[in-house]
Amino acid sequence: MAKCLIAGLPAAGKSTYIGALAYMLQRPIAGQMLTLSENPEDLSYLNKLIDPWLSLQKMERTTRGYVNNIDLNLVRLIDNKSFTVSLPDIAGEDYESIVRMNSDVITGWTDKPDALLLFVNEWPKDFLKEQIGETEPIDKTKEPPLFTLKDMSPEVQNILILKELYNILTWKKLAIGLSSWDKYHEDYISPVSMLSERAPFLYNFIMHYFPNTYIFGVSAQGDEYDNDENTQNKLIERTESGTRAYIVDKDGNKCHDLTIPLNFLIFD
Amino acid sequence: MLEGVTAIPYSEELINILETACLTYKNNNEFERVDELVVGFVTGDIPVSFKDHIGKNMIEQEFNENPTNEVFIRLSQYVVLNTILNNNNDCNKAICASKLMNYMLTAKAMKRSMPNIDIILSAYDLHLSKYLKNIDKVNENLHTELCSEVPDADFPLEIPEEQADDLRLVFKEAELFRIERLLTSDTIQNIENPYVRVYMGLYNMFNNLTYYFYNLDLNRIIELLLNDKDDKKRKKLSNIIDDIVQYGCKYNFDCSETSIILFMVKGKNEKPIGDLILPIKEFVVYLYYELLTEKIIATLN
Amino acid sequence: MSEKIDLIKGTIQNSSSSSPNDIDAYNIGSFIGEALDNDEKINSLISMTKPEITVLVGFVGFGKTSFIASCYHMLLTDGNIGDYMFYDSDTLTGFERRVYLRRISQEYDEITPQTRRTIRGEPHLLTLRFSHPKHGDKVVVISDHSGEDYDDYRNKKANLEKDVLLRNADRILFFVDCGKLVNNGRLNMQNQYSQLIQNMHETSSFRDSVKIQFLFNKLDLTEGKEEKYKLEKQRFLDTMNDILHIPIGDSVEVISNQVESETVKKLLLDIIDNTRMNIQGENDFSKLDWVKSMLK
Repeated sequence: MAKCLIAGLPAAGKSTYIGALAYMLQRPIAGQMLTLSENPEDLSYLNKLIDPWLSLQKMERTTRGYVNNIDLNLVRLIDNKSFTVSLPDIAGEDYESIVRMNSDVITGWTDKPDALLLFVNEWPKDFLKEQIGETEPIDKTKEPPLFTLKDMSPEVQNILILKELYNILTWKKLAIGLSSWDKYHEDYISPVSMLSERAPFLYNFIMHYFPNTYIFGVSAQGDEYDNDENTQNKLIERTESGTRAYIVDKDGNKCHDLTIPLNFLIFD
Repeated sequence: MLEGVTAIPYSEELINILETACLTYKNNNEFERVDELVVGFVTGDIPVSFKDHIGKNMIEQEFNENPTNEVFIRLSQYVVLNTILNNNNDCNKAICASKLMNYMLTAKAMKRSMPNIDIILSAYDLHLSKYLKNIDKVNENLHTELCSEVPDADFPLEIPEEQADDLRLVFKEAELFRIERLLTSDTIQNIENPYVRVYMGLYNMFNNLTYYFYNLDLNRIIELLLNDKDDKKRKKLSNIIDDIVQYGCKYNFDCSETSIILFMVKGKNEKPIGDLILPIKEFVVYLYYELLTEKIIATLN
Repeated sequence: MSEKIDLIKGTIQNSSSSSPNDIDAYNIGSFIGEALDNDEKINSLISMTKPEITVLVGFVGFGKTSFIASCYHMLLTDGNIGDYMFYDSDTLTGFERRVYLRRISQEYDEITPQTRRTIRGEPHLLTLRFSHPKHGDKVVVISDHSGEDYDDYRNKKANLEKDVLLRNADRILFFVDCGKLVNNGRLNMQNQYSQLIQNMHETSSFRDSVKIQFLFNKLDLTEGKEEKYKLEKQRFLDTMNDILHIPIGDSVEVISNQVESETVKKLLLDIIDNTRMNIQGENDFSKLDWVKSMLK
């Protein structure tokens, strides 16, 4: 059985991706790399992720402190190779807890993964904003709040998580998914260029230690969920035609096969 | 020897602990110790057993330092050089020095920089070539009457002490003659590939030698094995080994990892040194001393 | 490649597995990647070259932490400095604390020393890891003690004696508060540094080859008093020269809260560039090539 750990800070897009992926595995598009060979024994947790995705609703926060194990029996189209993949869905707060030196859920998870898929959905704040007064007004006379995790750059949090996860678990392959790609696709020609421009330190870190990382952009939602009926109808149509969620590879090539990163991670 | 490798120099106490740990590593087998650690510091791949030994000694003395690989490289050098320079047995001293120098072929191939070069060079004066020069007291210019007396003499024949050197000379000259005969034989000379010719010549020579402590003239051996055409030849080490193996040559004896050419012939080497271009004369020298070192070790065992 | 990956393992500080009952208690306490507190830990930093140690010396309010925060922010934003690529640090949280402290120092009227210390954390050692296409990977170690620690050093020689890192520093950067210079504070600063440097001499805290520099910080506060600044600066440097008896390198002037500062960049590059000593020794095999010598 191949184990792939899906990691990321809160609201990084892990559960949304799994929900969209699960739906597509059950209803594959033409030429999709991986499909389900059979339904999992228990679909209840997966359905908790698939249902809001189908209803165009924000995913509920994953319950922290638990590991929701998702085991999928997959088969690869090109060579009929089959594999069982375990995708534990762990709350972003539990990954955060790694940085706080309190990582019971992760350190207690004894299954060493073969691969890690890290989602990134938060980018370094523009520090200049603090200089031109774009931060929220504060009461200057009070004692300032102490340093918390939230005061750390998300870029740095992600690096600390990667380091500590590698120290505890040691995986063989790494993929980085830049979530909400629908928001960025017009500004960046490829996920690699976005990562290197928006988070150069994270990019350097990954390239130095994990030069074979698969970096991709992903829009699991397909678009922003808003109240506009046109947007909603389009999303529903695209869900039915299998053209809603998509990934973009390192060179900026778009495709609707969400299983490609998984194929990279679990197959040799 | 640790100068410059740590940001904060180690305390006297820690240095003493490290020194003791170094000097107690594989106390019972100096050749194995030297082989392991020469390979270690030249390639940067320090044996786990050495790291564990040092670590254990430090923990026992309540030091929780975690020495870096660069520190271990220098500690390995210290052990090797101490084994050579402070060795009570001159022959073992020469063998260990030669093991170190034989493995410099790998240093040359890997192009890794090495610390403490000046200290390493202090071991060079103890090479087997120098040792043999010192112990081979047989004077080849000696005029001996034994040669004319023995052929017609009746046996048993008593040879007085004053003729001991004469006798030794006769045996040495016989050995030299046999070597020359072997190296100039058609079997060897008809081997077209000069690297294979060198290998076969030296391999057979050492297999047939009855005494390994003669100070042989290596230049003469090179002259016998190579002709003018071969002189300037150079080849990649991996190709040289391939040629030797394809010709059917083997090395059927045990050998140390520091005898890197023999190790490669046996198919055991994993270090990335095959791309080194080796001139043929240099190949002769490296191979000669590897074979000599291994034969002398086998004799002592 | 696997060698590089293993280097990550060497840079992790051990995380504990204790779990606080109160989730909100995460606000206070340690995170992974904190600054290092033990000077000797530097020797364990896995590196192919000897880490270059730079010690920032200055009293309370002289701007050491802001300076470090600026350097770090610059590296985080650009990812590179000169030809050096910034790819890692063993003490990311230590840096993040200092950036946070710099930010709130500007936002809040007053921060008590205790709060300042709690935010900054006690450990003082920070590391930066760079990679150069030609010179390979390098580690820069920066010591950012609190100003109170240096007050302590100038008052108590015995405490200075325990500072092993200072004694092995490759570079000491003395901070000077330009605001004090132009507001009749020179004599006070001179006195502070005189006492400190005298103690440093008496405890042999200056390594033979150490590089000494003065960093004139908060240059913006000299606006309108340029002539006085020039005069006071020279007098200050002359006095330092007399006390130190060690050659002083070029002094540097910065506005350290300025996010983009070419001077800060230049100084940082000089610090990194100085980390050149390849502890692996010589690359020249010719000395060791005994076979060639034998064939001559």
